[in-house]
Amino acid sequence: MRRRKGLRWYSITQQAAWTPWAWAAGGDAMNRKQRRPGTDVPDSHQEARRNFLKTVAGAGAAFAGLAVAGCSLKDPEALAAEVLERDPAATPDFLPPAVEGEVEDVLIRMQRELRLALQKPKSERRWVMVIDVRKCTGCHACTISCVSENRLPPGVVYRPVIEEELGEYPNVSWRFTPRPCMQCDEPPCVPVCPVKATWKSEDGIVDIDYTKCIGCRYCLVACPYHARTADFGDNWTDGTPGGGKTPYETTPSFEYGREWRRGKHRILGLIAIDRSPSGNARKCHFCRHRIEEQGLLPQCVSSCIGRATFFGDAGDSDSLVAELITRPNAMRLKEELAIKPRVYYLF
Amino acid sequence: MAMNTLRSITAGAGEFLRRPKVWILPVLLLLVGVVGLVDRMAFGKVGLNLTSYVPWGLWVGVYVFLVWLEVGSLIVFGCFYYLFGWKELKPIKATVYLAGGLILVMALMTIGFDLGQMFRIWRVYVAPDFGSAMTWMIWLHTVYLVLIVLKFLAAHRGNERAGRAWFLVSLPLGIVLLATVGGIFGFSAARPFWNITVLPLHFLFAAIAAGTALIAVQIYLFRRDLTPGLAEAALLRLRPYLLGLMVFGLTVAVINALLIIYPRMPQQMASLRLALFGPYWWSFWILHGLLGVGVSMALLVLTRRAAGVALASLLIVAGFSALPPNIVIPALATEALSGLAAAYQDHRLHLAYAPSLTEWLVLAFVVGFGWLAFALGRHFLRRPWISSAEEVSS
Repeated sequence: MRRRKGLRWYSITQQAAWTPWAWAAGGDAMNRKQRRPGTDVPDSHQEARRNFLKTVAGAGAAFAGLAVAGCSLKDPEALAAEVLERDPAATPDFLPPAVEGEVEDVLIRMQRELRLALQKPKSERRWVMVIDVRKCTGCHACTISCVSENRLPPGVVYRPVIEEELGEYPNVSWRFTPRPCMQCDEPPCVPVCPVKATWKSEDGIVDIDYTKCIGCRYCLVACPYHARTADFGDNWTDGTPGGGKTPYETTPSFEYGREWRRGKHRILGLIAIDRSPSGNARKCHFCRHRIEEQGLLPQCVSSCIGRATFFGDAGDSDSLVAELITRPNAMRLKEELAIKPRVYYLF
Repeated sequence: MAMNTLRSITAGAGEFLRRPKVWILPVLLLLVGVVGLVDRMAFGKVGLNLTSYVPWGLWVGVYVFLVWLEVGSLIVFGCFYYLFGWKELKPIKATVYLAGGLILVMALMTIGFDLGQMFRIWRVYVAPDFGSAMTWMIWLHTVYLVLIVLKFLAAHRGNERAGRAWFLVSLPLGIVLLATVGGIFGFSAARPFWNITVLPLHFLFAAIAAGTALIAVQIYLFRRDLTPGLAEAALLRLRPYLLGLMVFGLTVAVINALLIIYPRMPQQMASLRLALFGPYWWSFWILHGLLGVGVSMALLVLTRRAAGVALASLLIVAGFSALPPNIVIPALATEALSGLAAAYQDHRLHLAYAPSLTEWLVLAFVVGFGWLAFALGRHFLRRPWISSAEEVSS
């Protein structure tokens, strides 16, 4: 399996990176990859940095007055200094231009905080997701964009949205509860794996090594949220002339930063061996490949039309998610199990 | 020497083929089952009706049942033979070990076909995580397979000391294996229907009861290998043990049910309702409850004949086959999160599970394979056992 490190790839599901707000937040992830700490800073970048500091200082007052989804922004000067201290090669596109009188989209703040978090060592990051159930419109865009991002086959879904009808006529309402993997701090799915194919990584995401998983599905059974699904090897176009060979089905996915092409190996032309991740347990991984390889928010966050899903580093006390999870209406599903899920719901 | 062996095998094969009543049924099962096997091997798991919410189904249930039979029968036989001194069973010792070993192989085949990546099973031996109950189960099962082979060889060669030693090693191992299989389910806090303290104990009693019944069936079927009259006597001696085990097993099952019913936890109750009144209610009530427990216990109480004990035992074995699927599937076919099953419409994302034709056919193949291998094994290894029976009688 080829490592995808450094591979420049763009999918239609990454459109968020090219939307105005993402552009403003530095949506060109490739630029970030070219500016590693310790590298030489080109002259143009030095110039840009000076302008950047000027802009930031001049617009400080305007920034301080902006409110983002009811959350405060960091002091821009301090933030700029912090960024430059960590990454001398940082350029103006690191922060969005300050436009007086405009309200910053929450995605921009999360994108900025994500990049800040990525400057930290992996062990100091604490990825957390917050879902504001009151804002979710039940459009299922997150579900579909996730399916598309990860090229999920039939039977595999990382983020279904549970719909509940509440109350009785005339006092009725609908509640939509997206259910990603909870990335529990005490994950019951991890210790049951007989081959150490799944583990809790230091940044909090529960990972799966598709090349090790034997497909026993004990982890599916152990998860109290049904957050793991099994890839039984089905294709969307099975039984049609497509026969599992349509572009969607043959395009690789890039989960966990590697290139995966589902399918089957054949021994003697007869015995089929599923090519991972086909035949494996699969689950949401907070789009680790987008976060780490591209510096992008998880696809479900970018695609949420109601801005109901928040993502970030709870280890940064100034981050949006750190702020949200301390609210009194922040709750976690099945807290009584004491498995410490990292997905919070605002009810 | 080699030529003689070859000639002997050829003659044996010819003799075997001339007795179609021994092999016709297993061969038919194999032929039918091979269709399912080809489907499984050539197309992977696409032909299975498992879903992501009910990821374990018929094969896991059958696997548990086969483990009960295999470990239970060998523990019980060893206890009667080595500890209680029922030496008259010596002529069928190798047969019992052969059956136990083949049932174990059938169990491994069943669970092997269930794996999504069956060719990676070596990873459990090379990179195991001993924190997982499944690792323990696989390792214990492997050691148990080796011990069965050793016990079989000792029995076949008439080495009593070695046989006794291997039995003493395998006895605690078998008990731990049964408890571990129970633990695989019992440890799972996410499935309240299983997460009950007495479930591993329930598995242990069920295995011992089913195993004792299987031994009784084998004594009756192969009574001609034994000294005339001894089989009948042995069966009548087994009767109170069987009855006692059934009473104990029933008590544990009732405690298990009360632990679910009394707290009335919604998910547990939903699973229990599914097991008792769901689409497969008949398998629980008629196959297991009526035939496997009710009629068999009544027969054991009323009969004074060896054939009655054998019939009761056969009913117990058949009836207990319905129990593991009724423990495994209802716990999974219940929503852990309300509304989840309706959240995403997909044929792999729902709670209704019925085994597919492929699942049944593969099972037929496994049964046919085990049956045919047993018939062949009995045929080729029969002579020394008959001679040992003659030795006992003389």
